[in-house]
Amino acid sequence: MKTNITTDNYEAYLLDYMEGNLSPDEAEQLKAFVAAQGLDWNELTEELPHLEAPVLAYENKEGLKKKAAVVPLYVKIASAAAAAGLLLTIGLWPEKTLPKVEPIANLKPIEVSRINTNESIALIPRRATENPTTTTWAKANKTNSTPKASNKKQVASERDVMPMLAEMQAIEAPSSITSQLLLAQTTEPDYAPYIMPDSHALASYTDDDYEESSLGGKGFLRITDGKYESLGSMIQEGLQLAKEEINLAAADLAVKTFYRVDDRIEEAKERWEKRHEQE
Amino acid sequence: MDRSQFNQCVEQYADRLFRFAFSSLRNREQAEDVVQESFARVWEKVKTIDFAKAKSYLFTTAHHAMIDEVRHQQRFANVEEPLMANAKTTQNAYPDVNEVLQKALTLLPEAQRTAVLLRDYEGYSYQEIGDITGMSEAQVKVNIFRARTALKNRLKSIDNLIDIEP
Repeated sequence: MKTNITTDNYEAYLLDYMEGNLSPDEAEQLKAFVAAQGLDWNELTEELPHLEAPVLAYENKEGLKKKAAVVPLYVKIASAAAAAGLLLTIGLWPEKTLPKVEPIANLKPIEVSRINTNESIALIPRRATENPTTTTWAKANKTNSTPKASNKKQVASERDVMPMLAEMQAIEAPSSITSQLLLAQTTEPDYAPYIMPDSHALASYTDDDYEESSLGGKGFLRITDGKYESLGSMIQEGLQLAKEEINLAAADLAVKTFYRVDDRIEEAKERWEKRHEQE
Repeated sequence: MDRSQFNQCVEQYADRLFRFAFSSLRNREQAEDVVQESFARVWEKVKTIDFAKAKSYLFTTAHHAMIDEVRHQQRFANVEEPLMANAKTTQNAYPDVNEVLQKALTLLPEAQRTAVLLRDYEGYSYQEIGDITGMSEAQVKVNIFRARTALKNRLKSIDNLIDIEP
């Protein structure tokens, strides 16, 4: 077989020859090339040294290793309590206070970033004192009429939750959660999609909307389907993450987020009721 | 690759990576930086890296990190004493062959040094070394042959020096 030995590659052939990887024919061609170049075959094919690996150790292996985030038992319990509390709230409070408006399927998904808090679209609660079961919400400055009572389970509509969303927009991400998110970001890549890297703000746990819901430097919750229940699903998802012990931050975040939002809603509710009583 | 496999890589390859980096850089801090950076980059892409290819990825990353280190800091001339546990000290009348070779390594061009280190320390094939360094298989062989020849000549010169001593 005709080889293509050149001044650029003859050393590669020499290495192959010394390692016994050339056929007799190829070896002859190499010898002929070396002779033609005026090089010393014996000198070129002298035994070459090999390096012996020194004994060296990297001393901080433990520092390189990644440790699993451990979800403490108290966090799991707190998460479960938070989820249960939320479901309780969803199941009872809206039923007593919110009127049925229109089927949820007809509502557009709410995008928090589009809400203009200056618009006077807020609803105020108007309590029918003579009959607590007819307590409802009415649109401000337009009508005092009481919506028809319904025995069906009440569902919060876009209009109903609008004031709540307005209240939610200013929820700051607590420093403790921010630090946990940073911890999660550096220790568990599974969690990265749920973190907004620019502001470390809080967001719902859905992959497709976490970017849209970013508010610079602010943490807030987004209600994607017009239903307050979506908060519950978010908490449940956070709880599921906690149960699977994927991430400490997920569980803690679920708990703290729930409490903060719940507090906001309670505060808003109290204010609206107080305002109504003054009127 | 998951976290436990990543930690397994640390256990298996951290020493080797450090040895590879230190043999090139001859500076402990720089070698440690290279190791840390290599593992950090692997961790960034841990989900996309196949466990079977992690070693190759680590050495490729370390290779590039070392090139950057050398080019930016130009510290080849600032050679530290070797930190090998079995390194001989200068109290010996005649230098150990390995010690001579280790020091001679620092005098080799970067491509030759990397190729021969990966071959002799890690047992990589020529093709694998080519994949890590971006060289063709023939280029790898040429560099290794030249490296070994340079080391051989270095040993010869030491032998000659010893021979003429009284």
